[in-house]
Amino acid sequence: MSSAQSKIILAELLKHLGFDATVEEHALEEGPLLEVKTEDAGRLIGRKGQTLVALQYLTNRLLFQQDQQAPKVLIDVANYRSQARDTLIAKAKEAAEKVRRWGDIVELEPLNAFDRFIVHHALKDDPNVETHSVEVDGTNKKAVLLRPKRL
Amino acid sequence: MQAFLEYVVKGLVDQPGAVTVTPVAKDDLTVYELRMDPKDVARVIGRQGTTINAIRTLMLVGSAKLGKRCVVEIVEDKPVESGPAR
Repeated sequence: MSSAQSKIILAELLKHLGFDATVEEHALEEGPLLEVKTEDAGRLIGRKGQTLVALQYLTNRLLFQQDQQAPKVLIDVANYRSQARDTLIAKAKEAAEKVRRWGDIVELEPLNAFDRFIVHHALKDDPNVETHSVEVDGTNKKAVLLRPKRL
Repeated sequence: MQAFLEYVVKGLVDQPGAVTVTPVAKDDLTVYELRMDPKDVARVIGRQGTTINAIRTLMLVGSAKLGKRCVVEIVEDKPVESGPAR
């Protein structure tokens, strides 16, 4: 029931913003995903995805207000999130390869918690690399540190 | 755009009846003055302004689609009793 609620909320937000869009719902491992189809995808994603972030945040806030038990939803537009996720995993694997070949310690750029989770998750079964999150000065994000696994 | 603002803010607060939006238009800039029950202000602003900033981001996008600009301001008419908490 609750995901139908989130779909209504998102459709309502989009309509009020003047976007001609349809919303499809998918069930993902991590929770429900609402996929937005619209001609004006670029505008809805925003610079560095910030509009999409704001849209997802507000949808979840409104959903929580209606039903505190409702699972948080993910929102994607034009596969922006799934592509960003693939790029991130590719970057993580590339860094892991560097660690494996040269024994280097590699630090990725500062990422938010959700993106770090993706990196840790992508490398958790790698026999050669271990991953940690470390604080970075000047930002409240942390960076993922990759180093050779000590046997 | 006013409908968007009303929908979001009324969906966030405990006293939706006390929410009013007053658009003040000047050329292509519209200032939306937002009034509500003083107890609900914190909820609309959110932690470190996350909620109000998300609202502003989306309001800007919606206005830009119409070739306009907008500002969202929360107006507190009555001073909160015994002054601000911090």
